[in-house]
Amino acid sequence: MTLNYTMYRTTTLGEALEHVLEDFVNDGSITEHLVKRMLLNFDKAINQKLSTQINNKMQFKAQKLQAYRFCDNVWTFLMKDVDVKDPSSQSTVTVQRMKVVACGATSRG
Amino acid sequence: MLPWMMNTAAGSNSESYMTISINNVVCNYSLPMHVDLRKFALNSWNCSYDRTGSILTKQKRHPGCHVKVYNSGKVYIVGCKSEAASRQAARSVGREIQKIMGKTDQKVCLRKFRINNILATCKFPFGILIDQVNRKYPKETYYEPELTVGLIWRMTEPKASVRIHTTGTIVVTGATSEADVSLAVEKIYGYVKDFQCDISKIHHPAPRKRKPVINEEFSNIKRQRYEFGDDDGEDETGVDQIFDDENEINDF
Repeated sequence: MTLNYTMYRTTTLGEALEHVLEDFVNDGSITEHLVKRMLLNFDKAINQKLSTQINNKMQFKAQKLQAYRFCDNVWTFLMKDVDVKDPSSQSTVTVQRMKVVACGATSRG
Repeated sequence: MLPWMMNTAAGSNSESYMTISINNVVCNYSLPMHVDLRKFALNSWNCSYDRTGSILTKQKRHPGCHVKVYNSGKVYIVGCKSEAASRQAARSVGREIQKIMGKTDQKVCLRKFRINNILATCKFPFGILIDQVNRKYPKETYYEPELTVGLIWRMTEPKASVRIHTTGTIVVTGATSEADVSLAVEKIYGYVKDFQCDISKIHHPAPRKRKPVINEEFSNIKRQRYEFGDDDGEDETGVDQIFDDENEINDF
């Protein structure tokens, strides 16, 4: 079993999945072991799809890079007053504070 | 910035106020403890720690500088604009390390704090005839115009290396304290003031980037060739021949 990034479990999609699985476990229809297997499957699927199938690109430009950190191959950026642009829909969203956590893209999965 | 008064050659009444601007102060010290770089990187901002390397690099905003921290507790700080700022940065980094490593109850001192290098620049209000300086002081100076633009003067006390340019700009490197920098500039002034000259009279070599030389006549002829269509291939101006020769050369 190859290892995939588990950070996508904290996304909206991931959290929704975890809530549902938790409900099932509390009802008693699913074992804990199965939940773990499902989440691993989720990791594998989302990593695969994000790297191969999804081509959307967003651009963002910030007024100020407040802080950065690079440790264990993970970049963390804290930015202020960011303009996020979607080139396909031509919309711009302005965000006051943005935190970007970026892991290195691997060729696995 | 160190202000430095001196009397110009123009007259002892007018005193020109020259500022020595310190561009870079490099210092290092060591902390008496082992630093867990990964823990430090996770708990502090504006830092970068490669898994492969043994160095954690950090950037500080006030005072602006780059910091390199090693496992052993050695810390190098580069980029401060003054000795005091350098010391302040050193202490604040030391404090941060102390907090993150959880040694707040112990007394942590900066051991062997040392300023390695100070880079400072100063501009004299007159031009300097470098080659004459080189001729008069051949032992202390090194001037190779094909290698560097300026003359390098290596001083022993204070220990510093000074680059002197024709425009009057003086760059002091390798000094270990601000006082040394002032002393070096004063000494250089003493040596160099006999070789003053007017800056505007200095011959500046032609700039390297040249615009392509456009031969207006040539291009006109080329246009004319195509205008007169009933030439029967005969070229009245002889341009055809020149182009043919060029082609022959290109074949080589």
